[in-house]
Amino acid sequence: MYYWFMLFLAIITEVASTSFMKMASGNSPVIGYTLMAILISISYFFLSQAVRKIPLAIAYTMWEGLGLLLISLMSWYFFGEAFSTNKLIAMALLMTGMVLMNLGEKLSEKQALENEQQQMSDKELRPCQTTCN
Amino acid sequence: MPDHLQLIAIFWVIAASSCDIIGNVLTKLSNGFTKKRLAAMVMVVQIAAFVFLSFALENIDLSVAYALWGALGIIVTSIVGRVMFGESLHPIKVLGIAITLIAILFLKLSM
Repeated sequence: MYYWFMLFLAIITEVASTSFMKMASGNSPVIGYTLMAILISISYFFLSQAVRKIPLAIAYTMWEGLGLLLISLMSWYFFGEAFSTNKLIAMALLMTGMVLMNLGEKLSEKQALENEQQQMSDKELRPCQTTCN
Repeated sequence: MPDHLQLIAIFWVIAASSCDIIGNVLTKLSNGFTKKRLAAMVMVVQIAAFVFLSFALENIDLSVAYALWGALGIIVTSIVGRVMFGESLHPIKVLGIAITLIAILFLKLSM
């Protein structure tokens, strides 16, 4: 859970840094770029904590996907940007993809565990296989 | 047909994306940023990634550049995760990554 929380913090700080990038291209570039650089560094620190346990492929895809989802929600909430039907479909697709991805990861973890247990019980049944022949 | 300026822009996006992917791998290897040299290298390649992206933006739209960047990042990071760190590639996981990728491409291109 700790690692997922770290990934979540990494995504939030990344989204915030993108907002400062917009500020940087506006009327206060120096402050904007400085804040952006600081936030990106913090974001990567959190990511480095998350990928100690979470597979890189999952962490990166979640980062992209959730980040995009958050940005869409923010531009809807703060800037009143409308959701087109296409956009809603894409967002639903995005969430489906992320759930499936994590489900697949859980399934393969379970499989790996079962294989391990199978090997353990095989050893118990045939303790002499390697030593007694 | 993209003209050669656009091809150059696409080259810069690929360069930026490569830096981003190298940054991800270094982040993983840095063991939670406890290896300071690797952590510093992450920062350098990430800054390089942004600089390269800004070169690309002279000749293509931000939405196209971002979409390409995101797609390349996900595909190559997944492959690298498999090859370097032995991460699983369960069929459902691959399907999930593919669906997410399509949705991201679609959303970014429509921005």
